[in-house]
Amino acid sequence: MNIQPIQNNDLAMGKGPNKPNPRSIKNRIKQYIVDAAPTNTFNDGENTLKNWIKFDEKMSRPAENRGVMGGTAILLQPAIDASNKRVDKETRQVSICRTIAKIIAGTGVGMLVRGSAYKMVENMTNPEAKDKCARKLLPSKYIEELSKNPKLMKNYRSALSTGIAIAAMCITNFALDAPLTVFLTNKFTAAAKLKEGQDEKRA
Amino acid sequence: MKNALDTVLNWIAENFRKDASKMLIWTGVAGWTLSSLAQVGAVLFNNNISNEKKSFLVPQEMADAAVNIGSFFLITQAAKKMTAKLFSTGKFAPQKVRTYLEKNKDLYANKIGKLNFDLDEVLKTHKDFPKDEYYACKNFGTTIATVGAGIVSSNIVTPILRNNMASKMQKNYISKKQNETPQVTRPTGMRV
Repeated sequence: MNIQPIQNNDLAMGKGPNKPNPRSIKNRIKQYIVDAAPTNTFNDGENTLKNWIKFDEKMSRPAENRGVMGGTAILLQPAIDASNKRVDKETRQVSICRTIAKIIAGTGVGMLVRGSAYKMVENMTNPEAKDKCARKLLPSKYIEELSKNPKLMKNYRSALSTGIAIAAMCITNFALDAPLTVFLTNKFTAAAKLKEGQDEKRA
Repeated sequence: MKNALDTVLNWIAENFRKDASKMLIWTGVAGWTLSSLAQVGAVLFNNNISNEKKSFLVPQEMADAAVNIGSFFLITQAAKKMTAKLFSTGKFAPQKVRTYLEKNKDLYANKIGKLNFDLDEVLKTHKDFPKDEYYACKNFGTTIATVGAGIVSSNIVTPILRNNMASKMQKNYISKKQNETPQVTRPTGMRV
């Protein structure tokens, strides 16, 4: 007896591949946004093109990306904490100090870990290097494909370095980030209380 | 050991060499969760902070991770995908791509701005399409949108929402503590 597997998929049943449903709510919202956006044409001179590529390369690097997020965080988050009148003054003060401490510790350690992971992966995924160590982190099945296509190599390096950074952060979050945050929080809180005491004396 | 490492490296290449974004998303979620756990522990074991302040800071930290993850998908990812869509439907384009689309008006004029029109597919079949300019502009645009939306979601939306949530939880803690404190009943005064 010749048993054939039951084919239930559309292609086997002679139907075309699934097309996105334009009437679905999600696609209607997307279409509305696309319609509302004005048509824009960007100047693509040689220098502009170089700057676009340079910017994208820099911002795609984990350490730089983390640095930008940390830099904007320190400008915005303490101010938002300071405006939280739902808690008493002391809680607000500790919250601001802890936020600043957390941003400094998190950004510093984050940039170090992510930057180091990316640098290590870059140095150890060079298909043209003669040194074995410089090819240590290349996947054996995809070396040729990655070496011919810089975009694929970039994605691979990005994914690998992020994975390594997360593995390292399992330790650094508890061993470095948290204790450093506690240390800085206590320092900033003490300094804030001292300043408050001095201000009260002057008044 | 060498084989195990190679297996992992091949798995990463197989799944992420064409698109690293999924890895970045899930490691981002893992990063926020780990960080939150570490910080909650740090607050709980910090003897310089009173229980009353801990009743705000611990929920604040937990809410921070939850809101960060939620707003990442709702705001940052949405902004990235919409910006990519604006480029792939031809609504946003560098000059060379716009010139190409106008030169082939009869093929593309009615399709620009429609969701089912995808320039990423067009460039696969048309060798004369200005691929380099298209990708440079699209990648730049989506990176700007992702970073901008990330700043809004992590540094504005998240702090506001987490402060609201933590303030409510502290208020509940304080009122619960006040209710648990035994009420002092004044002895009835003696009339003189």
